[in-house]
Amino acid sequence: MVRSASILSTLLLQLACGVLPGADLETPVDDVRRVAQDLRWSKQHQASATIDVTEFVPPVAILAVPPGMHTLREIELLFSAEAARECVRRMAGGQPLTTDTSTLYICSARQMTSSFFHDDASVPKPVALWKESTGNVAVLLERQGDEVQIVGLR
Amino acid sequence: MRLAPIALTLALAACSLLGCDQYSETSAIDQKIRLAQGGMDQDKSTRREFTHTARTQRPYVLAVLPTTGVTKETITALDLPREAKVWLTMEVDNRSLPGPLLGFLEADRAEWHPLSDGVTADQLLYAWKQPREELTIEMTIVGGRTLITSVR
Repeated sequence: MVRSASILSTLLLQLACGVLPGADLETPVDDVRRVAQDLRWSKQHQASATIDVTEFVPPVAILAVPPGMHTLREIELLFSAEAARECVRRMAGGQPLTTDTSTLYICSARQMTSSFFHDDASVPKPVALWKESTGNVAVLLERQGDEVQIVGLR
Repeated sequence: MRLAPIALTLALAACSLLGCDQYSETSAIDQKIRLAQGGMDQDKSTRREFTHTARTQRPYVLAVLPTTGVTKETITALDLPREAKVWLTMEVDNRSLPGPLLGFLEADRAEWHPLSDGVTADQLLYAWKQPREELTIEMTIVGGRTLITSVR
């Protein structure tokens, strides 16, 4: 009973302070991971997840690449807007992008973040989106057996 | 979206204070196994099946794990989500309970329960189900033993 009361008082204190365990640990691709897992378990073929880019001031470049080395030329071809190309050039520091695992990059004029996918999802070929408006990004996922692939950004 | 963890946390705290029991899917299924076993004893039949609809809102795998004879290779070859294979492999590698087991496996949790006395299985049986999908378990008496012969 004492232990229960202690748990409750701790939780109420956390609520009062607006702090919950794990509340600040959300990453932009958490929903992709969750939806990918649901997709594998639900036996459905396709699903759509959301990337939260509200912390970024638009315009924002979103880029998902498979493991390996990706030249700037190759990446720039994914974007038609020069501002988007400039954004990814700056993000990559003028160097090819090299990654050991499927990776999703988000960059804007002042911010950049990268998220790695291990077993949860993979990127079969690079996909990109230049988003000039506010709002979240939809990620199109497809299930191939027990694997989920990121096949598009919208 | 952030209200869900708050509600869950408060519900758990309230449950902890009030001492309410947690529902167990494997206990519920095992109870039906015992009833079916008793029914077969009573009417001298050798085969019986029953259905069960799990309360979970998420996809799950129900597994009947025999005491021996299941290898990692067997599990690897199964058409199951990788988390379910991980749960099965962990249990085969390091048994939490002796004897044949009933496993209720979800993406982020696994629940194991010993099968009722006198009930066993000769091989690993499993069914991968979606929420509210009906599960059918078939039992047969073979040579005086009650075997779970099918999970579908």
